[in-house]
Amino acid sequence: MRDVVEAKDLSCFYGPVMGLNRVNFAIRGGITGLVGPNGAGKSTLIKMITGQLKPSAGSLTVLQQNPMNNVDLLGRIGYCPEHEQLHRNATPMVLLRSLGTLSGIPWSNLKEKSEDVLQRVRLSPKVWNTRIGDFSKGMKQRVKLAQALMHNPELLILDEPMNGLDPMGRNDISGILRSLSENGIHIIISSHILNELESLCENFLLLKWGRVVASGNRKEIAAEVDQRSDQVRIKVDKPSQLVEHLLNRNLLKGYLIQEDELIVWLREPEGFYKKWPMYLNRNDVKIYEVIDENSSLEKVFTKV
Amino acid sequence: MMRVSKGGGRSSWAKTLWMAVRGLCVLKFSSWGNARTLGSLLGMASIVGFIAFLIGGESEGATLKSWIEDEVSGIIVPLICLSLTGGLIRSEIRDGTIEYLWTRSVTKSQLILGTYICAVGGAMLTVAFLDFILCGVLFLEGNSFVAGELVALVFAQGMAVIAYCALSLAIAAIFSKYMIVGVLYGVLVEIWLASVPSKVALISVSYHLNAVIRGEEAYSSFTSGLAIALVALVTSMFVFSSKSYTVGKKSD
Repeated sequence: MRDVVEAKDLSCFYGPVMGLNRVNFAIRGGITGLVGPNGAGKSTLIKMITGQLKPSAGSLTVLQQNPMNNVDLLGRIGYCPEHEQLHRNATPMVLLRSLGTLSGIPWSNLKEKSEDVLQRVRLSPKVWNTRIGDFSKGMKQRVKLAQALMHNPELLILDEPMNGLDPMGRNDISGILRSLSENGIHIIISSHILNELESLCENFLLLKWGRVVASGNRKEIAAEVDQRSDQVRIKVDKPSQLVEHLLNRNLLKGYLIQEDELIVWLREPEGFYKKWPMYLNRNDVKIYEVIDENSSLEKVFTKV
Repeated sequence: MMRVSKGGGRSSWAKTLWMAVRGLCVLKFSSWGNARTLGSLLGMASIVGFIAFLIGGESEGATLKSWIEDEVSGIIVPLICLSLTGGLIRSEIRDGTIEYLWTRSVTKSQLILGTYICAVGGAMLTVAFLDFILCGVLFLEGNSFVAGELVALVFAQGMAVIAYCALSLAIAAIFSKYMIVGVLYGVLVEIWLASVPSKVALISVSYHLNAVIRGEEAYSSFTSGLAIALVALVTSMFVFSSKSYTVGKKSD
């Protein structure tokens, strides 16, 4: 599969302020999470991908095309901005008809197409002709998503779509995005909410201070940041016996027992991971789960 | 999958522009039924109707003509154009909703041109409604003055709407506080410069507007007004396509 987005030495400066500084990365298909704290350059990158910002230096290709002043490419991209503003006096049907027209959808197909996308984002038909200004945040997010889907985009770009949503709303949006991805739409999603991204995204691009600190899937990122974690959480029926066994082999720097769970700090992580089934395999101890603490995106992100 | 082809030259460009006009008109005029817009429209109609009632009763052609030239065409029409056109583009930038339009299959030039055509349509309808009220009041009073001047009035106001909307668009594309800048421009260029007895008055739309209403070199004044509109429109397209706007905030 070809890369959906590819950047080479990409930079963007707002006068003396740096937005992105000589970044190189390739975003594959599927759902990709764009993660980083405020000022990391997420929105700058998204604005460049959607052709709203011109790179100061370097090159950027989106679906194998240059995004600047490229209306053909914009017809293949669906974009959901960060802010929650929508045309408050319009109804979802009016907004979708209008934006659909601007995307080149024939007049005769607009009604059918609008109804189709509103159903896909699971917005109740009762509010299709209600003023958007009276909507809750969750309903507005659905309308925002619907407008991005109107022209059957190949690539969907969502800037902080979970902002301001309650857990139910986040769950709903995640479900919709998963189903869109299953239908072959590539998705790039930026967020501060790492937990949602961790369960939703296949790949990640971690940004900090305008630089890419890691990219790839969760395991690749963990490997890129630190070959192996020195901390392992093991669910076991007899933690004290297992600790004794590991201590005797001089594998541990330290340990902590919490009921049926054992957290160990390894002396030589590389060596341990090569032979861990052998080390943990004791006849009188049952192992239920082994969790490499470094594989949590939150941990990786904190570490970088 | 629906795609708008970039190829096809001028006809394709015109088709995409037409698409932009239709899309923007659906979005902009769908909210015209709200209480605020209707209230403003009825408020303006009441003021125009009331003054027409007071002046029209005197049956003094010169006073009435002067009032239509100066107040209705010279102040009310430009203010309608400024608030309508500037509001169409600046409210999108201020609210951040412009991003939904920027990321569609139309160029920024087509977007601003489409906005302009929508604004001209809206302003024409508004001015036609006010003229209807004006003529209606005068007709009820038995004043036959406007009937004789109606063709010149329609042409003059049509030209004024086209030119003032283009000027308003250029001002709104450059300045976030378009109402303040627009009123300052009006006082400086449309009132003060228009009254200066030299060729510098030619850059003022109101100068040409009055010439068309009076029937003095009406054709050349009409085309001069359209030329001002063209210059302002090209400026708007250039500024809107090249300027970096800060969206979603009160100012940029």
